[in-house]
Amino acid sequence: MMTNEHGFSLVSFSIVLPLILFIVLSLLFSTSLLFRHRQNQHVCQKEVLQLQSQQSHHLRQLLSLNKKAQNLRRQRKIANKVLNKALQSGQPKAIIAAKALQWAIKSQQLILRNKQTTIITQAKKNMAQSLKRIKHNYSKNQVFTTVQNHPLSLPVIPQGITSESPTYHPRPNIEKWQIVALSWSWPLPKPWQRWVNYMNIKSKKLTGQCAGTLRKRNRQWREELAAYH
Amino acid sequence: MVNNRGTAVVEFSISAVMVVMLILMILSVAYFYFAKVTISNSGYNALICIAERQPKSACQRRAKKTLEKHLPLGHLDQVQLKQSNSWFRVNINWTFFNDHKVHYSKSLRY
Repeated sequence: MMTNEHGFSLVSFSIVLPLILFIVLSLLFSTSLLFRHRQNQHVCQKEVLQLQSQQSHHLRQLLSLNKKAQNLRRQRKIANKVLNKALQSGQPKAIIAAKALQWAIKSQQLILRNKQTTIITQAKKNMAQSLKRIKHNYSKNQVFTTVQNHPLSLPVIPQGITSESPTYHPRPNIEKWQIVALSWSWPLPKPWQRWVNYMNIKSKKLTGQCAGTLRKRNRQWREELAAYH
Repeated sequence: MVNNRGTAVVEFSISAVMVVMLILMILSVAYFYFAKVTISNSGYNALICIAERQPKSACQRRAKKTLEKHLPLGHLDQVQLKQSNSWFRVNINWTFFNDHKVHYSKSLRY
């Protein structure tokens, strides 16, 4: 009896083909999930760094005014002494000149204080605006929520607060204080969800977290990624 | 009448060997591709880990552990993390059956 053996390869392939297809599809699926996760994580990191970059800019601006503030405080002390001496001497011309000097310095101090307040307010406003923008702008499925964000104001402590021109210094432990952490979630598209059901995975969304802070580098405060667990 | 039984056995064994080889080849290619993606992902995570100023040894250990867990076949030659004042760098070398090497290197400047 003659048998036809030509169909063997075809039969083998039809058995193997689903296996190959399953492997290829699983690989493509897991790879695209990994890349999507990384892409979303990258967006999160970019946003958090951008936000901290604004804050570092304001912090640098504020700290750069410290020298002038110190000088004005010193000048004010001298002007006060000059006025006291003039008052003791009782000479009207000397008193007027001393008072004029004191007022000139005081007005400079007030202008400087106004600048400092503007920077602090602007930093606070920018932080709030940025967080609002991040939460509302990402309608492309990626949903952001703030995990940790207590520093809505610049991380500085004023010194000489009773003076018209205080100096501002970075808080101790600023790296921890300034951490802004965002968490994100990305619901899987419907065709993917079917695949997830098939693979028996419970979660139907990708999630992640990122954080940024300020750190001193090369004598300047700069934005950096931070660990947040 | 000719007896075809011997020819059928020979054909069957040749086809079976070919099918098995094809499956092995496809599986190897798939595994190699998976390894590349896993290495790139672990490398990137390690880079972000040192950029977050976590201890270098902890980042290195985590990357090694992940790679060894996910890639049981093949040999992890090197997981190296470097950092300076202005950059972070990760180097990973992995070998699959002695002659297929995967080298991953990425730097992050700031």
